[in-house]
Amino acid sequence: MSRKRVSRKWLVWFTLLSLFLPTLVACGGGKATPTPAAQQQQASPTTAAAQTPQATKAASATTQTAQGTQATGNKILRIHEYTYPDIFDPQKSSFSNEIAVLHMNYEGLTQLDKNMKTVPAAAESWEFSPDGLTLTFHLRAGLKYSDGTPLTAENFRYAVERTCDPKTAGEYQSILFDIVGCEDFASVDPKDTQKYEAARQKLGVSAPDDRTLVIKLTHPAPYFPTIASLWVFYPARKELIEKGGDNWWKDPKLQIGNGPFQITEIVEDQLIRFKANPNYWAGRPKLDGIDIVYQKESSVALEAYKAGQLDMFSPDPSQLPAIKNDPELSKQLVQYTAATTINLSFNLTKEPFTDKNVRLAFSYAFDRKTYCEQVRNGDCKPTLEWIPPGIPGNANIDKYGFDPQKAKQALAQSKYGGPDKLPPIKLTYNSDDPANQARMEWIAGQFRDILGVNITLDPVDGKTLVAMRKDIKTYPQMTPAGWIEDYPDPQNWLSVYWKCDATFAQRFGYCNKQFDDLVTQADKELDPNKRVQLYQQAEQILVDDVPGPFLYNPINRFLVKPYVTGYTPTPSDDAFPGEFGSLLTLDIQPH
Amino acid sequence: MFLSFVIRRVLWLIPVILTVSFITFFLMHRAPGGPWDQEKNVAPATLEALNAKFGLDKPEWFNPDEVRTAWNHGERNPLRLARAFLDSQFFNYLFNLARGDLGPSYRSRGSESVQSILIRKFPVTAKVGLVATVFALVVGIPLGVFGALRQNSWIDYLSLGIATTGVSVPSFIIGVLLIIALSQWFGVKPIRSPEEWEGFSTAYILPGIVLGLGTMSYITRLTRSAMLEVIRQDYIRTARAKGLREPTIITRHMLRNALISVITILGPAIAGLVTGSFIIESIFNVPGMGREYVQAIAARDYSMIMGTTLFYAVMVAIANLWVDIMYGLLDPRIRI
Repeated sequence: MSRKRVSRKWLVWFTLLSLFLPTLVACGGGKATPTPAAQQQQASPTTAAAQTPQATKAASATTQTAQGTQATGNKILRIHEYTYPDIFDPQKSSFSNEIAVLHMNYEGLTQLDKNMKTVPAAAESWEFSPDGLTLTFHLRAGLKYSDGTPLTAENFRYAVERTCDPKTAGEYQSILFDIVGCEDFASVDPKDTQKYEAARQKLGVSAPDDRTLVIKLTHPAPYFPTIASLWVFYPARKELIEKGGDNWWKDPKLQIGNGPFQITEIVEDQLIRFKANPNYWAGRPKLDGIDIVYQKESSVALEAYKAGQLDMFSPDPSQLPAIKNDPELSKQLVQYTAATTINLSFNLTKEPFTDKNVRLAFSYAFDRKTYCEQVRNGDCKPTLEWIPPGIPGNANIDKYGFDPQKAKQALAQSKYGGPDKLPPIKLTYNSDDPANQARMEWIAGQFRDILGVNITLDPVDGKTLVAMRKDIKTYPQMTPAGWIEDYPDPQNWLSVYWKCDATFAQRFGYCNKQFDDLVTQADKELDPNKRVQLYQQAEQILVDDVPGPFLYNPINRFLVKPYVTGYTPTPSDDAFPGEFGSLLTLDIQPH
Repeated sequence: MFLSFVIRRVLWLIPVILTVSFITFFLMHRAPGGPWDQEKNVAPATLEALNAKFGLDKPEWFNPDEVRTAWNHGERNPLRLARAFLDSQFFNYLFNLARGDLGPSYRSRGSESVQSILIRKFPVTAKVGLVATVFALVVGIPLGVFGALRQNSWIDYLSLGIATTGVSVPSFIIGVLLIIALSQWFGVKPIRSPEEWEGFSTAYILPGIVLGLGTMSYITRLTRSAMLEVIRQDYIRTARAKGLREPTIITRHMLRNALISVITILGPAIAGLVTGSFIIESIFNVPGMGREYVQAIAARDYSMIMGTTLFYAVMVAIANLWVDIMYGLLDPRIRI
């Protein structure tokens, strides 16, 4: 009896201890934690061989540091980003936060300058053949990667081939479908080696010598030199990609680039560190390095900015009123419109938006100014057309803006004769952003007050909305939509989105032959002035069709410390002001 | 006896995993959209290639077409035909799972497998969870005990107040407030440097406490009410009459009986704490796996959804097993 009691007492102590034991073990230091070092070494055998014990320790916390490449200078620009990129492989990436990383590390054949013009980068010049079907790039002499390895036309040829390769299957593959054989190559089954190899051979890209890259196009494409500035053209090196396998892009030692900066450290979900590239053809940038710091919570990031942990930070719209009222912070706020347009998209095959007068009524009834200034705290600028100001093709249109009187009139003139006979209308929106609900309620309230229409709100999660929009049958009656530009050319704004055979226009049923003829002609026009005029005419037609009221251009907003200098904001910026065209001149003054 | 109990319970994990897999797989495929869907248009050729690469071109459950093809090619081996019939997304997942392969994570286009992500990130999350668990127990139980011993005194009101606040104020508010306060008054950097998450540093304290706050409050209230019930029992009066010292009465006779109800909730609670929280990890920049749950669903990262759900299920099962063992030790009437 007594023996049993003793053992039970011990057991109680033992179980209590079992609660705390793991903690004690964990307190003993990092050794108790299983490390993924082995797995990472597998991914890059050379890394493991060269690693000192210290480097191994770093690897255990998913930190990979390129040896001897630690930025030594003290002019480090610290930029905040909200979301850590899913993948930063030039030929597989598609999101702006992914491209922000790649854009510092690599450079295409061309680049965009401060004025959104396509200017020479790795290529010093290029020319089209007289029929516009062959585009020849001439590379600069003596180009080098950041590690000193020569950079040749073959590296760019590989970038094109890798983009079109069905084994890569990057989401932006189709942006190179203007190249002869790219779409065929992308559609081939990679398991069928013979067909795969044949399609690869037929791809219309070649590097006759180290400094010449020849691209054959399926049709004259005067905008193609701009596409050559995009991330799919970034010359990630074949031997390094093959060395690292699918995981190669996570290793700074394999991400050897030709851009103004070079990645030196990647800490997942936390930080990506760059140092200046001394081998950059235009000389070393003024900064010694850049840190991109990731933090999802805007309130924590704002606190970090105030505490001097960040030099650039993009506040959430909800923080704008407080920032504007702060005597210090308000002076550090940099705002300018982004190359993005948001509209209220209608399904043109669903009642009542088949009737142009109804669409017109909704366009007249939307008070864009109040919406931007009050409902969205001033994070957007009203617009009445598709192409944003500052982008070629913008026609400075002032039509179908807010006018309650005309709105009622237009609705009365529709075949429904007024609000009473309208079919039920649903406004479908993305509920991932909790702020959206209040905004949509305001919009529905406006339509109710001005037009007398009752609108049902229909919140769905982001992916569901994307899926609904893929098919004209499920495309919502009415939903906020828009376009974030890929490159500042009207072709990207008009032809890619609104042509009868464009995937986007087909989803909601827009098709206008006259518009099509104009943009098709413009897409092939080699004279730049004539080309822009044609696009402007097309833009007029688009606006007059009222396919879905154009609402606003979002405003890029950043807090920038006063000691950061040498940047020019451009509408294409996403991560920070001066992302495009200012990487070399960005600087930090002594403070 | 004990060993066979444990083995039996571990074997029970197999049907649990199968059922959880089935339900999760069924539900996630009912949600519209897929891993490659995004605002911008992805070319049909690209989509096809991606689906083929990751086996998403196969049917969800069964693959009769594959059987037909095999049959037409002269395949008569029933085992091979059965495998062809099960050459579907769900059964291929199960077959891989049996081999310990949770599949590639689609969010990074398959550049890393789900198991290697979980293995890499779980230790960090578990450390935060342990801090949270220890905090919840070390603060929660004494608060509840003292509250009950001095019922309706200021200690009681304080413990109730803390418990109510801890339950009702969301963790992201407390977390952000703490960060702002520490940054402004004590100069603590709001964003932790990456090195701090290696090993076990002070960086874990704050997220651990905020994460554990809800559980701590729950434990406080449970302990308090269980103690109040026990205090009025006859055997406590007997113990006092026997002349036992008060600390002995409290620890041996009161607390041990009161803890039964705490232990009951502790299993699922610990499983929840050590598998992390999206909000806490986002606020405190914790490089853990808690974020994966939410991000995987939003990204329709099918294999990651399956992986995290199964992982959580297994953690809950293990925690409940531990609870059952504890029962037997704390209460002689419960036999395992």
